[in-house]
Amino acid sequence: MINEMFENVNLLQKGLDAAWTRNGVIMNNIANVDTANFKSSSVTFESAMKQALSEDEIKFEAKTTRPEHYDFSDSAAEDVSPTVVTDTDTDYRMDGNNVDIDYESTELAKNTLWYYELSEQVSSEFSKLKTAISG
Amino acid sequence: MGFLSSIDISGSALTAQRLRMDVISNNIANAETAETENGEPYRRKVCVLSERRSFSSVLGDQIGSGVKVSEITEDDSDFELEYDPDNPLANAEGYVQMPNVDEIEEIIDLMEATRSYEANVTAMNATKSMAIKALEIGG
Repeated sequence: MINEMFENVNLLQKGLDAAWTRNGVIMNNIANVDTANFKSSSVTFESAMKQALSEDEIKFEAKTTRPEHYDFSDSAAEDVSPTVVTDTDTDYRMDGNNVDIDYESTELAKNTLWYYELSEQVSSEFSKLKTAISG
Repeated sequence: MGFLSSIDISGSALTAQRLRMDVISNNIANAETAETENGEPYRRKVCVLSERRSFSSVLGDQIGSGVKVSEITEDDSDFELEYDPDNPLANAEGYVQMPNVDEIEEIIDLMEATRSYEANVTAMNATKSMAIKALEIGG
């Protein structure tokens, strides 16, 4: 029961981790906007998470009533982690650099808002639990 | 990526771009310097930027950790010749060798460095506000 209580928080935390990693990647791209032969990177997470969540939905679950019972409720979503992908195939300028500063700026703005959104969700999750505890 | 170490990424870019601006300012300041310590006119200096990789980022093939000025090289293009027979440095034909600094080019580089600096300040502020937001969770 106590594990289920934080299930949503744990999922949101994975999202927050991914957003933080993506922020680091975007910052590094922006920092290297004038570096010759630098290739930009991005983070993939949401599509893998979406897939894992849909897999979890159709998963077989068994009731465990004793500690020695096998736990079938292993969720795929828990194993999803953000992956950094470097785009080595394109050239944006003569110096071999492929950072598109406009793209990076919009990604930065989007990612910041997404992080805000997730942290609001975590806060509201905690306030719900507080309400449940204190009544 | 550590909680505050990602601010260092933008921090490294601010340092690099500021050094670049200093080098450009030095080029503009010396645009008319016809004689330096080695007897030649001033040579234009250029910053070479390269990606900074920390030990862990190389091992894990993860995010880099910003940018650095790896070297400051000299532009070995030819000096300008200026006709000024009264100058003590003039040769037999009355020409003086002047630095290979093109002020227009320097100003454009300076603008580019300023814009990059601003972009990194924006990125740093975004990270700061995200970190503050994370500290508010559960508050």
